[in-house]
Amino acid sequence: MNFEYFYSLIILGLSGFIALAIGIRKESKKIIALFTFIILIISFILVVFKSSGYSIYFLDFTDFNTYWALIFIVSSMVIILPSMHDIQNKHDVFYALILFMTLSMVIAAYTFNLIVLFVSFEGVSVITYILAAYNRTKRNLEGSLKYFVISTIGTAFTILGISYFYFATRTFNLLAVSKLYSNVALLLALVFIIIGFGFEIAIFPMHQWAIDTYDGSPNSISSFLSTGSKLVAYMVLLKILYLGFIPDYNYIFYFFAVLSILTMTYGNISALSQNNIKRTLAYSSVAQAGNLILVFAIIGYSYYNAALVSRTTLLRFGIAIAMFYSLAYIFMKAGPFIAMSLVKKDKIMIDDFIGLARKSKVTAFSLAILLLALAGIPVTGGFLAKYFLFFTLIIGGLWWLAVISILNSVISVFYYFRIILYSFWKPGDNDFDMSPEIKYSVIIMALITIALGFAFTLYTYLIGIAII
Amino acid sequence: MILIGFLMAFLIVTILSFFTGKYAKQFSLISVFILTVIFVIYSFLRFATYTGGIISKSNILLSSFTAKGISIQINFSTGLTGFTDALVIMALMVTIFALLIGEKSNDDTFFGLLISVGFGLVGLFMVRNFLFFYIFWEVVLVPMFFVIGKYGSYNKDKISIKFFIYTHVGSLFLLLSIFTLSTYYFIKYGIFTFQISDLMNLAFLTPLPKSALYFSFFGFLLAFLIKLPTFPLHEWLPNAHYTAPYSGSILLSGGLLSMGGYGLLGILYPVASLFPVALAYFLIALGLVSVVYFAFTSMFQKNLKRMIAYSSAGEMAFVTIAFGTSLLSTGYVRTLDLSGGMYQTIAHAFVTSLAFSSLYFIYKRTHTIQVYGLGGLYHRTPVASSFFLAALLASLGLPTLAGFIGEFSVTIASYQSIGLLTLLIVFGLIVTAAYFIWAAQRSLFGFYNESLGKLKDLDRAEFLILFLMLMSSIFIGIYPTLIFRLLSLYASHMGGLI
Repeated sequence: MNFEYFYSLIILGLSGFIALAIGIRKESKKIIALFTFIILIISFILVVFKSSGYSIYFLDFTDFNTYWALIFIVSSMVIILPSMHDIQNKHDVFYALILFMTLSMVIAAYTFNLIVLFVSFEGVSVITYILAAYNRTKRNLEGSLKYFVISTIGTAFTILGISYFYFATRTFNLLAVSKLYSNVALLLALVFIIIGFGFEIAIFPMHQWAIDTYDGSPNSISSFLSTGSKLVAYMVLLKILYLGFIPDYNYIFYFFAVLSILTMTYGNISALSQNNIKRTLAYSSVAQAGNLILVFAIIGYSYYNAALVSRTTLLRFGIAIAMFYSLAYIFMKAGPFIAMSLVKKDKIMIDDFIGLARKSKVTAFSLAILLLALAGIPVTGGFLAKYFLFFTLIIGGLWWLAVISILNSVISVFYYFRIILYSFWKPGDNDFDMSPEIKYSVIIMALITIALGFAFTLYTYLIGIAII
Repeated sequence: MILIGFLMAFLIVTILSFFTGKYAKQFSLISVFILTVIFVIYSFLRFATYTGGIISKSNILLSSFTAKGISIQINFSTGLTGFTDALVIMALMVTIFALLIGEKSNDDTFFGLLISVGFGLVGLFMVRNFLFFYIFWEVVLVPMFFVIGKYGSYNKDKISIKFFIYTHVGSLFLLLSIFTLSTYYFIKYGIFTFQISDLMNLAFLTPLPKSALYFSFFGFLLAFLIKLPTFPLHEWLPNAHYTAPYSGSILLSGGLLSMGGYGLLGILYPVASLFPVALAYFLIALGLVSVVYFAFTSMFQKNLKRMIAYSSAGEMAFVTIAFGTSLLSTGYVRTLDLSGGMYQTIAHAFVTSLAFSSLYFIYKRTHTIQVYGLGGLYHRTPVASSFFLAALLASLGLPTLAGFIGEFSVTIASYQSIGLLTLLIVFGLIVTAAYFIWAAQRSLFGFYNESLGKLKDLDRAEFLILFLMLMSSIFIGIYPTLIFRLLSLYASHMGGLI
């Protein structure tokens, strides 16, 4: 057994307990947060500088998995700074939970075994129930309760789906799927798995909890729910759909073409009529989920070989863009949610952002950059992600799907730009909470988003590692 | 490499100009002026021996991946043709004009945004890669959205968003076309690339399936015709002009409209021989309708700024006509037609800059630009009125002024291919002349409207600004060879290049 590969996992697990121990000594929240951040950086470095291609028990240390592990560690890092502002008490428990959650996510990233995927995924879910209710206000508790109930239903579906999947393929190891034993069971498995993880990704008919929970949770937790925890479910679904359904991709395309169109359109149109800005962002997160699951439609479509290019080429591009989009998505989605903390209110309406540019030009510009990224305007990571997503759709020959998603992208411009418009030039004034934690988080996110706008090399690298 | 260095320098200037505080105007003017001088010297040296085609090519491979049956390359490449060289100088000049007008003289953000538009334009004209072409195409829009939305006047929220979404739709279809071409390029040559020289290539495009080819032509045309704008797609323009501050209007008509002209004549024309003939006639029809429609619409405008906005769209319709008719003609006539269209794109920017600037100085004094609110201005402000009159005359294509060369060449050349339909153009020109003279008569001459109070004429600085614009307009009106030579060299070699 080669222990080198487990260092990051061990460090994450152990330091969770150390964080609790620091809490007993009643150290200030700054020290615990700093400790957590350093641990995350160390595990990031350990994950990066590790040769790939090792596999033991249910863990596979491939480049593909490593990339997802990095994404999840980054998604935890993102909320450390803003949570110092949002979380009022029991910081030791909070940061220990974050570390444990990161451990769960990293394990989920490293495995192709359905049972382990499920267990680690639940590990993330259980912790996010707690985090969503962390400040114990009425709004937090309501959001968390809805999340808990709905998620439990989702879990039941997932388990059912996994058992049908076993019935159909006689294995839990996704890499070992080769032969099909029952066609009907596989279809049932597909349906149940989509429903189960669909709740977490918040795709169209399963999205309603997300709006309330994102609205009710503390801002940094909303940002994590809509990035990290959504991406875990996304990655699990990606692994299952891509590898587990190799014998029969037949239905995936139809399911996801329809689902993504519905999700995008519903999310965008609902976001248009919202004045509550956090709910707008929640709906936009639903719409973005529609963009993300377009990749599954691409994967399914590759089965038909009707595409313009060869099957593996299309798969490679599809999975690469899923990976790139996820990374860009973390920053551009978490940023605006974190920026909500600038307003000193629970219920944040769009009017509350009036006068932000007069208060702090840099913050307003950073928020504008993040929103531009969500709308897919150039020189941002969001643009590059959308650019190559549409590119992949065209490579696959799915012009009609590309046109529909482009029209959706146009609709989304309207509500993103409305926020910019309010924060920059509506007359009026508001009181803003310019705590350095929030301000610098937003600025850093915006800078990273711009840097990702030039990350062509990352994209071409991802094409190289995309197929497992 | 020099071009890339130039773009880098421009980018640094653009970023710096956001942080210059109260020296914003001085800083931005001086730096853009220096950049312009450098570029003009460079192009004099480089284009003295120009014989057509793309020169000053350079290419940086940003990233590539080649393995397992996939090959993808992402390049940043630049290059200049006779046309784009003239366009870059025009964009720089127009930026200087906009900065000179610069209404919000204490606001560094305003000047930063104006320079950003200029930077986007210059980048767009220089780059030879569709990925970056699209990036610059959109980069121009965002600061323009801010200029209209933040510093605009009437109903600015709605109009700025409408402006953005309207043009964004066109851009996204442009994107789809680029992807389609790139995909088919991969199928044929096994490599994904966004290079304009590879994708806009007759040898590659000719054997493509017709559906893919027409789909991508549709996307390109939609994007370019919205920007131009042509008759049914013009709805964003008059409102945006009306709301935008005057510097913004100068950049809108001088910059954004020429993007459409560049797209048609610089990007699409080299492969336009694949167009079905019906499409050429359709484009000609659009152009003719635009000329007449915009002429009549501007006739009925009560607001001078909207009038100039419509007439500027009418001037750009000559580009559409030139594009369409040159598809039907050959040889010398074709060259004349194309060069005329290109010349019109460039001259139009100078003419409308002059018009908007002189209108701004009138507005600064009278605080109204309604035709009926003015009257007899010539009695009190003879100099400003003369400049405005000169701008109107330039717009209607008076010889010795910039507008004449392009309109004349296009009209003559298109007679060869569409015959008597050219009369429609002439008719449009007559209507234009009529309403300009009518507008001048009502606002500048006649009895002085006493409710305007005592007016002062232009001071020295304002005079110099307008004088500079008028001189540049006259210069390219009486000495067109300087630019026309480059354009015709480029146009006559267009078939085999790119």
